[in-house]
Amino acid sequence: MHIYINDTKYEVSENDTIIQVADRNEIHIPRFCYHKRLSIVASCRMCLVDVEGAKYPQPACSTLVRDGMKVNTTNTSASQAQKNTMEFLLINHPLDCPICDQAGECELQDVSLEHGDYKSAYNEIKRTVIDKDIGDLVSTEMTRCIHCSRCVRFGEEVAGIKELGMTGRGEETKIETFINQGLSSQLSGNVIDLCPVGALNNSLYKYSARTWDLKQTSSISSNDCLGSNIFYHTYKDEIKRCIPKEDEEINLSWLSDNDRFGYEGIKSDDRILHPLIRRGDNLEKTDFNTISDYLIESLKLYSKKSCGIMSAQSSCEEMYLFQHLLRENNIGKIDHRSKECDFRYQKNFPTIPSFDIKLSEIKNLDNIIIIGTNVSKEFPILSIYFREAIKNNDTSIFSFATYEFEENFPLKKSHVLNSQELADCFNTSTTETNVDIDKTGNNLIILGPAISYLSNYSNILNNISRYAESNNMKLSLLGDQANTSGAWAMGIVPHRLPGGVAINKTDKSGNYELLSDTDDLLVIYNLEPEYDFSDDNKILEKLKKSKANIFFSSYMTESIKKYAHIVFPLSTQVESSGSYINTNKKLQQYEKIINPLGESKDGADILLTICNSFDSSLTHEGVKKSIRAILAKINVNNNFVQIANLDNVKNSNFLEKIVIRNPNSSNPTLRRCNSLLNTHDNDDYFSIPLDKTVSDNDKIILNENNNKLKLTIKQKKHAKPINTVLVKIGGTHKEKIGAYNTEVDL
Amino acid sequence: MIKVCTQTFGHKNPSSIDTYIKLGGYSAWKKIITEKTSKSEIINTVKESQLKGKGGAGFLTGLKWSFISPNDSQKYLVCNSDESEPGTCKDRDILRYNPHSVIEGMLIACYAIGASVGYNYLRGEFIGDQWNVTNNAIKEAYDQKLIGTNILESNISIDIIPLIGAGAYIVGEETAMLESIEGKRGMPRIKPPFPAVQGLYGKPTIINNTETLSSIPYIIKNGTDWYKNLGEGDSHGVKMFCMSGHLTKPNVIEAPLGTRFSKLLDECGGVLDNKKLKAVIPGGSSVPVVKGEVIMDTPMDYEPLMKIGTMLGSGGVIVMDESTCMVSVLERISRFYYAESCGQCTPCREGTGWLYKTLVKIRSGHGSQSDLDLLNRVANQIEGHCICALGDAAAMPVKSFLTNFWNEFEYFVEKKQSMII
Ligand SMILES: Cc1cc2nc3c(=O)[nH]c(=O)nc-3n(C[C@H](O)[C@H](O)[C@H](O)COP(=O)(O)O)c2cc1C
Ligand code: SF4
Ligand code: SF4
Ligand code: FES
Repeated sequence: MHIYINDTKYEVSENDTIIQVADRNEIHIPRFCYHKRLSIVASCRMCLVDVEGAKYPQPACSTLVRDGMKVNTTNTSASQAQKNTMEFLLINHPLDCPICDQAGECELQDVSLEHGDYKSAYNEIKRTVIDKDIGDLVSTEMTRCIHCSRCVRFGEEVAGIKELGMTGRGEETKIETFINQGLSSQLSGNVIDLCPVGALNNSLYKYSARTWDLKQTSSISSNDCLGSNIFYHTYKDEIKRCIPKEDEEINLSWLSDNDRFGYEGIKSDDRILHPLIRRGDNLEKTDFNTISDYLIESLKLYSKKSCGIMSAQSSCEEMYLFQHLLRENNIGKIDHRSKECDFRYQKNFPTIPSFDIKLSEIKNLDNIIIIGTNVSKEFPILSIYFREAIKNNDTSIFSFATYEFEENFPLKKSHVLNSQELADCFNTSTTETNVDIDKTGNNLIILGPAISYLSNYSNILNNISRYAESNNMKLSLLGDQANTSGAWAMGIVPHRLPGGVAINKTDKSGNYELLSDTDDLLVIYNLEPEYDFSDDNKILEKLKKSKANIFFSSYMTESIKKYAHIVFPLSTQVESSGSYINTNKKLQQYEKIINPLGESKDGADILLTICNSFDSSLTHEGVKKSIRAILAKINVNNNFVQIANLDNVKNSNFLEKIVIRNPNSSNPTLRRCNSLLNTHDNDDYFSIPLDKTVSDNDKIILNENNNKLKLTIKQKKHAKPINTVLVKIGGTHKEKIGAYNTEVDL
Repeated sequence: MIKVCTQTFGHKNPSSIDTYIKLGGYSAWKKIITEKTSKSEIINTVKESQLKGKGGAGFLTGLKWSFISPNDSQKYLVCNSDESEPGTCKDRDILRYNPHSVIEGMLIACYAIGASVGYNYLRGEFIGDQWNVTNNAIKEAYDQKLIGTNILESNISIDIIPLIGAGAYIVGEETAMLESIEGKRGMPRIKPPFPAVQGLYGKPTIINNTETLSSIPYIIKNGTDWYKNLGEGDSHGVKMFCMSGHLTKPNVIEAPLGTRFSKLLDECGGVLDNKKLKAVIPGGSSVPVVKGEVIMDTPMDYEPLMKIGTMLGSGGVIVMDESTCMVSVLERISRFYYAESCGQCTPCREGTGWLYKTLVKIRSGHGSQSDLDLLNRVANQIEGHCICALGDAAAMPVKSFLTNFWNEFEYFVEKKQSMII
């Protein structure tokens, strides 16, 4: 089948529209409402083209091809129609380009220049629209709106939440939120890119630069394990904004709000700008040599009685060097799992945990079981794939979690269970499992990071793995941080060297206590004791008791101020270069976007300099090569973690506490992005079973592990899970919250 | 006087099921379900009767029904009782006085196209009167087991459900009506796909006007020849004409298609106060206006009206005498389409406002000659460039008023006042 566009013959297939054929062959057709990832409405009428035999020009975006069809995109009929539409679009447009952020990259400007007229016949009063406040992330200038409805369709079709809609009729048609409320979707920022004009703007970028002055550099997300591809736009060594870089394997044309707005924190007042050393009660400025010497001496001095805990947000290069530095000094207690407390599974864990299937294969699945993650909040990009699967394949999605939440896609069934029930319902050795799906289908189980915080994580992993295997399902393990897969592969675990090579020395049971108080030296890398550990009481106690505490950190916190002996000022991810391994085991490189603030330094540079003091042959190039070599050797077939002779650690009659972390503050930089947190991280609460009472409505006292904790937050009650107190906390809670998962008394 | 859709008009309790049945009502429906008449036979009968849709476009009803997807998925029928076109007031009378003919027509249509549900969508303003009558009538029919599950033990189940709009003209456009029924903002969809293939909730759907469906039982009962022969001259069938404006006796008249305009005028007692006839809009405010002398002898049917540059449309005949200021009339018509555009297509959303504002300017004495050219140009830029026919409906009056009464508009912009004192 073929058609002619402007007298040239093109191969087409039956369901092509004219605009698809034109786009494939780089024939320019102006458009506003059309977007390749949204449904077709053909309402802007910018894409009108001449079709032989049709009385009037036809919209190229919605007109299907016919064999032998003759299309002209530039003849008088087509160009006059385009000019007419352009004239209509501009009569009510404010033409305030000089003060509009979109100027320079505005589709209306571009199309106007090519297809419009330089003068207007319109002499009446122009329409103005009063703006509504729709939150801290997206600012509006609705008088500029051209009603293309891309933002509306994005909400309905991609983000799965109808927040922006059309109200009014005719000339008074407006795009606004139906109720007076800010946008709440974790994908809300995408409407900024979609809006062809300056109606929906990036609040962080607003009035801070002109588009043509910006420099574009590509990067990788540091906020979740999907590894979305990003462009940063900078001006004079400052990040002005962040937009998606198209990637058909990961983020398509979209970005989560965390990724888009997640750099605001780097300018926080908490930034550590100099090397610091303790003098009495204070940390004082010093130089890198002094603290490097201190570190080397401490490593030698405390050697086996040391512990290194590193964030899995660190790059593979930092990880490789970190474990190298510690292991060369005979320190084996190295870990990245600061939020976990049950490690009995570790020997059986895959060398490199992953999603196992390509994201693009999600749309062919029949059933998906999601365990322990609120996908639309924690992995918004993933939720887009789920929505696609439901649309494409009528996929059934089941959710199992420890608390109730909403998703932006329909769930076939959702179960709210406590940790013991979670383990039990996948127990294949009991007569019936609670989960009934068609086993012959193409099915997947996804395990979210929050499950790893539970004190019976190993039991759950074990049961789910056996369930998955016996039902012929694949198992995906979603990482807690951007480089969790990298941390496993680079040996940031006590029992394995890079590449997953087992160390025999670790004790048989595979279990050990990360936060025991037996270490004399603590090296804490890019983790904040208050917010990043499975038990804040324990880590603070540990810091108090140890003889030396060495921090690598970008930000100052109360505990660092109080307990650190030295602090290396780390540059943030956007000020560093490195690589991450995403959940599809893809190694992705990122470059430095801006120069580090103050004297802060790329962690890989700091670590390499220190390593060079005893191993001068090590270079950045060499490290990169080693990383590639290690990855090339790793071969993992599945993610099943089956453990023999595992004890049940729980007794379901006790009241347990489960802490729910807010995904918008999962790393030190995100925690300091105020606009993001104001929009998305604002529902802290504790929730108790219906049959329990506490005296105060916004206060709860918890007795756990000989500690008494007092939390002053909103109270809720729940029917499920039974025997469970839930504590949902945002990024920068002031009070101690204790263990993420433990027995408690009220 | 012939009586088809108006059969019960003038009877005692015209809307009651007893009256309707006494006059032979529901006999067509009962015959169909007892004899299990084949669907194609019914569709062929309707086709041969040459019944044309009375909602405005005049599309052959039988032909439309034959487009319904033959697959066995869920199908729907929608009766379009949104009647909102200025000058049109026939469906409101059918619903008020002969509601059972619509119900019987819907049942037959549902049966013929294989729909298990028929919705009757009434315009919001019908809430006080027609809405209650319709609900009562449907209840009566349910009570007599003419609707519902297992109708008269025939194993056939069809439900008829009344719905009411919220006052938007655009919902009368068939695909906007489907959106509205689905609970969305009333905005026309792009076609193709046509509703007969992908309609309500994505399922094959037929949409017909109230008057169209009301005619169905009579055609089935009396046969195609009977219906065809009701027409005058070359015309087939009948139509309800909504005679309004400067008339001695404005009225809704059911008359043979092909009846000359002069005859309809006589039936209304002629032009009010014996003034001279100036202009007529024969098919609702959206069709082109014609001069009185041009239409006087024209048979009122689709083709003859087309020949004189206008359309039969919905049959809303608006009569204007010599005292009418055409600038004012056009300004008023333009305001309607400006206010009722759904706002999705650029030319319609922006253009209708431009037209209206320009006409306001002219009428307030601030217009100029160039504004008249502008009106024509803007109307041309809208016409044929939009998703639905509302754009055309806004453009056609402007163009026809300017063509037929150019000197009157010219006078206005020159003298800053109306030619009519
Ligand atoms: C703007 C607009 C408004 C319309 N309003 C009505 C209406 O109020 N009633 C109606 O029957 N048809 C209306 N129509 C026509 C319908 O779209 C459709 O053609 C009709 O209901 C089909 O029924 P018919 O074939 O029986 O005429 C309207 C069309 C447009 C474009
Ligand atoms: S706000 Fe922007 S994206 Fe939304 S309809 Fe208006 S112009 Fe289109
Ligand atoms: S022509 Fe007007 S009323 Fe019809 S769809 Fe377009 S904007 Fe809406
Ligand atoms: S791009 Fe085709 S009508 Fe908008």
